[in-house]
Amino acid sequence: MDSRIGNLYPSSKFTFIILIILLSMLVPGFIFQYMIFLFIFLISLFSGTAIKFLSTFMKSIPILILFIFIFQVFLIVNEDSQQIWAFIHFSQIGLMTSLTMTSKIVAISSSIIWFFQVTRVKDIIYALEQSGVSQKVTFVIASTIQLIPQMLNLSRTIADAQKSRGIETEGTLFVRMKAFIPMIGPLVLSSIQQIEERVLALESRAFSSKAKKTSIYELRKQKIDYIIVIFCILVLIVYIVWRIKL
Amino acid sequence: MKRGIKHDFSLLALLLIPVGVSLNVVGYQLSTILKLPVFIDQIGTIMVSMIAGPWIGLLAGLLGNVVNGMLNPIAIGFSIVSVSVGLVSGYFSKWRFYTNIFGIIIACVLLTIVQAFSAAIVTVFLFGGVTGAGTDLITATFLATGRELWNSVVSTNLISGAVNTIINFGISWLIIRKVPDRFLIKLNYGAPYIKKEVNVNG
Repeated sequence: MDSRIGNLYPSSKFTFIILIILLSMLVPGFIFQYMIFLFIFLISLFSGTAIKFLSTFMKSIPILILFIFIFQVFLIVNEDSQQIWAFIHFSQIGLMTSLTMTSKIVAISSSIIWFFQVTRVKDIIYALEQSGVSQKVTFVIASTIQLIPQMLNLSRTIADAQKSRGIETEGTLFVRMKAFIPMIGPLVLSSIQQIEERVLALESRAFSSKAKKTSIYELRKQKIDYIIVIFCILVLIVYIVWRIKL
Repeated sequence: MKRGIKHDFSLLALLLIPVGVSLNVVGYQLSTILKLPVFIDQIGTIMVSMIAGPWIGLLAGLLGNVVNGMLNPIAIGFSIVSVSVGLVSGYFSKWRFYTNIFGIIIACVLLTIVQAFSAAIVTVFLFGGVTGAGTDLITATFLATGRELWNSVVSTNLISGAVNTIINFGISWLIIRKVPDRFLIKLNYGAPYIKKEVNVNG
């Protein structure tokens, strides 16, 4: 994240992935979209997140793609389907559909993964605030991202405490279902208590005041940020003009 | 008490959103720890929409999927499902469906239908009938018996959605029963769940 790409202003990176998403939806075929995956992988090599990128990508996308191929090619009956065995067919149309569909999924999801890996949440929130989004919205986003790991830790503590008091967490399905309430109940009640305290703390620091607030954290747009945004807009315009002329 | 999109976003209600989102995550984790066959990952959305109204429920659903999407971009595609669940369940709470048994049954049925159809639209149009989860096996079985894609996806989602809705709703209802009255009274939609008789206008 401390690389050159990681230090760019969030909105310039956002413009870039919007360009990629638009292009991968507009360009026909599937080769361009699969090339985007390689391209994003190269960029993440430069931003020093290649290993993280690949492991996140591999966790969710390949299984989905595999299922799409199985469904579209072998299971769904199209006009040109040829029976292979019992309910398994082979269809050329299905193959083409799944290629275009998966290529778009690969391109869009890899660009989203890359964006969140090279952009700090702090930066995104700062950029949102600067672009005029209400402070209430940015506060909710920031505290959600902070609260999730805290709640996960707390839930582990509660689960251990309840186990030591004799709640059964193994056995038949019904026994395991019953264990759910004593584990999640105390979590909700304690977090509701915390909310009340937090409201008081925030209000005593003038959170609801309409006055303009300053930020101790600062992020400045550099020259390269403007260049990237202009470049992205130019590429899109050139592509659209070229398609219309064709 | 005034309600509506302008009045629902009190500070207390806004602070409920992060709790709702984290509850979804914790519920998902707990259901994997307890090795349950269904994923209980909508408790937070349903609970928040019940006591803080449709708009807060909508936001909690959306934010939950966007946060999940940071690690698994497929979740962003499915945000429409939790958004509609939050919105619809919030309106049921506004119309006091959740105070009697018949209302609860009707609400659960309608929620299941909403969830199933919104999920089916996303699954078919964005992912060709696939979700990448275990329920795909049910869809595959339906497809193998010669049904069409739409038919199979909707049937799968109706089955899994019914189980999910009942469990998610049941747990959030049980939790809300235990939330103290002095907290419920501060929320715009909390009044129906207060245990003692209180006079509230609106």
